[in-house]
Amino acid sequence: MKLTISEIAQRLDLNSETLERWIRQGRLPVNKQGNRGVFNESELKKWAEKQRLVYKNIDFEKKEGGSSTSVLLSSAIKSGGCFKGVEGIEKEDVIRSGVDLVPQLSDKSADELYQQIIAREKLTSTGIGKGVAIPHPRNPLDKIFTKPMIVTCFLENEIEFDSIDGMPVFVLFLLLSPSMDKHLNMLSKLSFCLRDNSFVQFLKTSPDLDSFLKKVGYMEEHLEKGGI
Amino acid sequence: MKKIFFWRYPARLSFFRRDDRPLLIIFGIIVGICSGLAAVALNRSLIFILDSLHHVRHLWWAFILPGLGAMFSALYLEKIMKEGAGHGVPEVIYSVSRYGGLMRLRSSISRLISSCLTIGSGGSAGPEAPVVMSGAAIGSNIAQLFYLNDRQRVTLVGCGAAGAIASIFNAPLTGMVFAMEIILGEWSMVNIIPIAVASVAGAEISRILQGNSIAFESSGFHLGGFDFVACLGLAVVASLASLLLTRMLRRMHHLSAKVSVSFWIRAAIGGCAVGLLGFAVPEVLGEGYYSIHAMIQGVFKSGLTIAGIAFFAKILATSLTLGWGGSGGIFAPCLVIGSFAGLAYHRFIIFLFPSVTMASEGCFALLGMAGMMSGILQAPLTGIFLILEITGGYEVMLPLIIVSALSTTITHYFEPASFYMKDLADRGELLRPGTDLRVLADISIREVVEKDCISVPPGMLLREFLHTVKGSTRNYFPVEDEDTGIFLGMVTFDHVRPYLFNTVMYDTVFVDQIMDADPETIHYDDDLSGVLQKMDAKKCFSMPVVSNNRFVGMVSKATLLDKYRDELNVQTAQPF
Repeated sequence: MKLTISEIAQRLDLNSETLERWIRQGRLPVNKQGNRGVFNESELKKWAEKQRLVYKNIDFEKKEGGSSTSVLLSSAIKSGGCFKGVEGIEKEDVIRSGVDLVPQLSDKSADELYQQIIAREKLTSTGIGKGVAIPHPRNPLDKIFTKPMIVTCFLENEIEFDSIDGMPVFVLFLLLSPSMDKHLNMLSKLSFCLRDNSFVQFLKTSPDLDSFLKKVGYMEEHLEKGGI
Repeated sequence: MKKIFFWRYPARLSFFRRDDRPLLIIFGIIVGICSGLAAVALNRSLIFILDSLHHVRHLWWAFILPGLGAMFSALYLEKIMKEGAGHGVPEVIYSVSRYGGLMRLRSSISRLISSCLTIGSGGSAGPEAPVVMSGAAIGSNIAQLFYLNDRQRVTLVGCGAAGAIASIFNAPLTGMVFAMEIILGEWSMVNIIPIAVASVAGAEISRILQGNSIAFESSGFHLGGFDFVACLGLAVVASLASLLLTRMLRRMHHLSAKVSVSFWIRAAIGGCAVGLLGFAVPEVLGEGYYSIHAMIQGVFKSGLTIAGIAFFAKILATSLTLGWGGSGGIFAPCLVIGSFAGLAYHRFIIFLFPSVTMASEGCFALLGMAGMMSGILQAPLTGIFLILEITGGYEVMLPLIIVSALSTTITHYFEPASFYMKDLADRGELLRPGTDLRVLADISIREVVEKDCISVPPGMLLREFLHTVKGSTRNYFPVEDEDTGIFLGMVTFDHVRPYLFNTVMYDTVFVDQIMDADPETIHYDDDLSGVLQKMDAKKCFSMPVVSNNRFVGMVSKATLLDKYRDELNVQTAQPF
């Protein structure tokens, strides 16, 4: 087989300078001709195994597409749905009502999700202040959900939620995701939006799904451009 | 056209790429024959010069002969060959460890002629080290001719050295052991076989051309219990003698460096001094094999005092010759001094205890040689095999091993590095295979530098900088001038950590206010062991590489460990 030095270096996951030196020193079964290396693939593979190095064929590598952890906030909100006038007097009641609103959920899964959220609430309240709460299970439920979603519930009445600033809560965002990194990504983006007071004021008007998505989309664009 | 040049690329045949042992064996034979021929040539020309100068030896002005010889040899080496004086073995060792055995073609002939001049005219030195250098250079140049890689070339250098020693002493085993123990410093199956083959080829050439004779034939030694006890004393004497010779040589080097005359006058002064010494004690002149012969045979007539004087005179003569700029090896003088030491020791014991029955003095001269060789070279195996093969005295095997081992140990206690390695070790250039220094010496900065750092301009706000930090996978950010690209300093994550939660500072602080404006930097041509020392001294884990005032990348200990392991694996692995 005949490949350029840098191609062989890539296959062996080595610096091409190192590879060239090793060829010069005769450490591996590759002959150099011009800027190409001549070798026998199975031989080189055997050598790499002995040296505890990896030999991989790049042609196969390329086909594997990596899944990004980045979640688009607006699409998560869209797939979760936005609901108004969600009823309940106690914390548990509104969470139960919220869980029942999650789309495409069997009764059994709904029960499990509810238990998990309540368990998480017992650790510390997810009322993050300014009248907003973001209930979520502690561990991602990868068996139930295949894509991340945020279920937005505007409440009929403001209720006590043991928030950190003591304010009663008027809106719940149920954060549901199949994996932990997606969850964290979603949470960080949502909390970035919620830090903005004008956004919270906007939420207090109980907007409909379309204008809500538009606002979130605008915020997200801003987030991409800059800011911490 | 390609077909015509194909014979110069034998290593490219896929058969040899898989396993180059047959190739190395074939080349081993060729190199062994060539270096064997070089050794025979040196031997013949030495005999010729000695014969033609024989009739003027007794004249009063003969003392200037060694002076002239040393002078011409120094002039020849310096002006025509442009190489330093000395015996050449350290140069071979260094080239093997640092440049994969790369040597110049002229090295294959330079030392032969210069040592011929020095020794033939009467200087006290040996022809072995020059012939080793020449054999090694032959091996190296044959490897270069056929475009062999570094590993194969090193093996051929070993082959050349082995062939030379095997041929000049008619001692194939010694050649092999010498090449492995002293020149290559490692014992690997891949090397042993070609080197053994080359040794045999070298020895065979010498046997064909000069007859199969053992240099210092000895026989009929009968050792009793007392001899073993006496051996212990002899080992001490031999190691003291080798210490004396080592120190004397070094002292002479320093002394001659202080004399402010040009190098060839210096060599002439040293040579004339040896010549004068030769009037008083003729045994010190030349390689001195004749007197060894006499001592082993037990026909050395002079008494204890003369032997003692000859012992010291030979040490002095050797250091005068080599320390003042003559050219030659240490092997032969060692053997002579060793045999004088053994002989004197034997006579001294007899003088103290006249009634005791001991083996003959020839036997002790032989043991003295072994002790001296092992002490100076700190290579016990080479000492043992050399004496066994040049004397054929297998009866003395046991005391021989005892004396060699003891002498090596005692000398090592006072002089941790052997005569050949001393200078290299002092300069930190003794890079034996598989050692830390060697691994680090092979890896260059270019190979470990990580270039995925994001550079920032000095006028960047802390807020923007933190955003850059967020999008990066590294903790180190070089600060570069926006227009010129000149490296100004480093900002690390540690620098901003204190201000991380202070939002007021986000828009009031610029990057150049928090950066380290004068970080320790490294360059492409620095060596890694120095870089690691710097890192340890500053207790940091990464350092920026700067070339032409421009930032190139980072070198970090973590990546280095990765590369270091790969390198160690590759260097210590058996290729087959």
